[in-house]
Amino acid sequence: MSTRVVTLRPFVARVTNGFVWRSPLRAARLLFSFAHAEAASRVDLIVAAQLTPSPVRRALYVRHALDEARHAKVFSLRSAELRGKLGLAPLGFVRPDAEDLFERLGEVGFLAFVHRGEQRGRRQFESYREHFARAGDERMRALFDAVLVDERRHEEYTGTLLREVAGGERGARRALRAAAAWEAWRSWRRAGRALAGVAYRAAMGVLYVALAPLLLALRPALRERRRWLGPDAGGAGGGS
Amino acid sequence: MNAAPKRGFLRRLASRAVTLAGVFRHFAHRRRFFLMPLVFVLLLAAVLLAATGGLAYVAPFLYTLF
Amino acid sequence: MAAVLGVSAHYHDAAAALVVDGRIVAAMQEERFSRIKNDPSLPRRAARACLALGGIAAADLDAVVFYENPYAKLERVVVSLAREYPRSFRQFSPALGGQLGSKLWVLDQIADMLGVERRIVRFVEHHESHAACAFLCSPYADAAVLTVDGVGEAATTALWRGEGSALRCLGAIDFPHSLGLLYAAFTAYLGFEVNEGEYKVMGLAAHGQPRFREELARVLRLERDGSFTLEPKYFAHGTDTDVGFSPALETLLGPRRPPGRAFDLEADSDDRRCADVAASLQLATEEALLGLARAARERTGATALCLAGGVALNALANARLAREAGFERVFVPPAAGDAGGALGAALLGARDLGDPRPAALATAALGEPFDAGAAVDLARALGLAALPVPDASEAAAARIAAGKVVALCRGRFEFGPRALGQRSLLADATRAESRERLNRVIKQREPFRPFAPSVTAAAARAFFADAPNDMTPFMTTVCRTAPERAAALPAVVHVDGTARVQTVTAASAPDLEPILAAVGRETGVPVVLNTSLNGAGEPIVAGPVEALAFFLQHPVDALVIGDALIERSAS
Repeated sequence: MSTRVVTLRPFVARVTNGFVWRSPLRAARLLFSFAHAEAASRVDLIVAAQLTPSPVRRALYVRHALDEARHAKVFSLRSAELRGKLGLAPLGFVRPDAEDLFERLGEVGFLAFVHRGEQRGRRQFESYREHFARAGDERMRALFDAVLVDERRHEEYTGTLLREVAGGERGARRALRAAAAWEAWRSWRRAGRALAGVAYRAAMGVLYVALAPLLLALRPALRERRRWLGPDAGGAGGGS
Repeated sequence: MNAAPKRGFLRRLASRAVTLAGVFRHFAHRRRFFLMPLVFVLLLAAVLLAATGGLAYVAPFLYTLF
Repeated sequence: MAAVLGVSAHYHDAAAALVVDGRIVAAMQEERFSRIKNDPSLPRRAARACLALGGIAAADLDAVVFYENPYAKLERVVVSLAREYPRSFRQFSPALGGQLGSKLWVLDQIADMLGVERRIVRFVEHHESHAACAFLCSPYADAAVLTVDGVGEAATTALWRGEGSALRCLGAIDFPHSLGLLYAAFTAYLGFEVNEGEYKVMGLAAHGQPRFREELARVLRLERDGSFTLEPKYFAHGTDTDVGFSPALETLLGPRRPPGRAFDLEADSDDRRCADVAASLQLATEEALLGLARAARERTGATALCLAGGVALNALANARLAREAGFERVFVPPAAGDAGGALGAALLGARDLGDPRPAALATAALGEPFDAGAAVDLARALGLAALPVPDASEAAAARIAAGKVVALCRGRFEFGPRALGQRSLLADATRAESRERLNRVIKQREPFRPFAPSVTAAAARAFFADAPNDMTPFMTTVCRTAPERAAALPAVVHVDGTARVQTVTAASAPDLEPILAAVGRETGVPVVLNTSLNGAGEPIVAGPVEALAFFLQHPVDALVIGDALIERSAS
């Protein structure tokens, strides 16, 4: 099901991997971000299992979610271990955030999205595995090897399911293209929001400084009023 | 489970107008007149937010130009 | 005769609650559906589930009530930014961005979410929704009501007089003087996550001595009229959800505890200092609450007290209030925090449309039921042998009595943070190993955290002083264990001899009562260890998908789901 794409990616990856993994601090952070991604994936899959009308797919999503949970744990433990060696506390608890993907994209769209994600993850982890094999780091290589077994399976079954639910090979390809487009749009929006955020904060900073006379003049009027059991205490109500 | 059908743009705009009216009604209440300057501040901030929010759609394009 | 949906969202613990003709039909937190702990986003799925349970469509609603005044909230944010000028520089942009970008428009978002007319969406004040949840769910016709939390619009604390269906506000304390924010700042200081870790601080307190009383008195000053003030220099209030303490607090009490480090109360003296800080904080909080409650008693002359707001989750303090504040009866509802605000808002909406007050809240099982048949199908599809059993309660009880850990998933899930026999992990309270195993292996919690017992209401008095009372059905208070019984219940009695007891009747916990009765028949001790069915950092399980995922991921011995039993095989 994977499309063969010839890219510079493998070459670029060799160069960046050497840089990225050299520092244990950066490595710990990266592993923690993997844990976070796996945990988010787990939540998405549990929600998909809740919402899918098909009992067969429900069980498949639950199994997949359990794998993601295991991966999240493994990555977060290794991250904590690396930081422990540097005398630092772990990066904290993994708290995933949700995007309501199943409801937003529908089951076909969701499957296409997950399939692409697993494929991407599989390629990424294969590149890391190669890196650690070359560097002679057996533990890290073994970690990625273990995760890769699952990722390959995930890529495979989601591809199969997608073909089934989208009504054939063509439907599946269409869904994958739509998922790619949606992801591109999502990245665009994210970048846009980040940049807009910077612009907004800068503008607000200027506003804050410009407002100095007004806000300082208002301060006396804004003093705290005590409302505990006094005469003008109370007062509640509603509105719209 | 179906989500509620997306309400029309005008409907949503009218809805937000109701809220805006609510904001003014709240600040116009007797004890809060002195807050009017702050409401002015809020409006400025809101305009900035809307402007930069709108910017969000084109910003990446601008970014890639530089 | 009205159908009213209450909603809480955007700050902590979004929830929806449905009240029809004055009766509470359903109440659910969004986190149970979205699987994000304390999910604050708009409760889309919870609202849909409430409507489905009530058999009505959104178009049939007469009112949708939000639990807070978004305009007053905006005002307070702006005022406090102005008041703190120029120190509020860092908060200016995110606070206003958050308000103007999203939170101010919550009433519109709710109308969009449900597809209803904007004009039926209204709001009530934050503390009033807490007060309504506490008072209108209580068994009292007449009571004093105290609402204490982090912060609502501007008020952090409020005193009410409840009579019949009416609630009258008698006084309030405003931001930044807040017991909720005090506790949250210390939670962060002790290295826990805010809005998660407060329970842990409470559990840690019993392991320490309150030797920082004087220091705490400098941070939290109790006034003669029962109110209190916080000394601003020890705090660094960021945006609403981001509370902090200033370096001055570290100068006063010692360096903060870094988050994520494992606790070792025996070997580590710094951890012992932290326990002492927790104990001092707990004591100071209790005394502040006592001051408020005594003032309430004096002012209202009521014999009953209702409590709500996030601080009412402090079960230790509730017990002290029951003993020392001078009230005859005290009630704390099962979801005393912001989730309960959704229920309070719905009740206020119903009242304002002319509906009568509901009967006293009998059970917290206000969530969604599940299809037991579909659960069995899913179990089998996952390779689990799910066997229908003639008497699920007997099956569970037999295994609990044999020392096994049994997960229970039956009926409608609970409203609020406590598992009360609908989505519970149950174990033998008489074996110390139960606690060990659950803490370390299954729930992976800090070693100092206690577990709670459930006991039949009839047998409660024999084991626990002051039980049963109005709070015990919802596990919102602690009770002292009868000294001669404490040794028999090592898994559930905390180091200070207290236990956060749930007293169970057939009405309050229909699926747990027969299990307790059966355990009692078998062992003579109708008490079980009852902890929530969820993994570390996750919301409590809602339906079969999460329950079975939990079973596959954690080494519990058996799962009773609906009328089926799944056991872990020896392999």
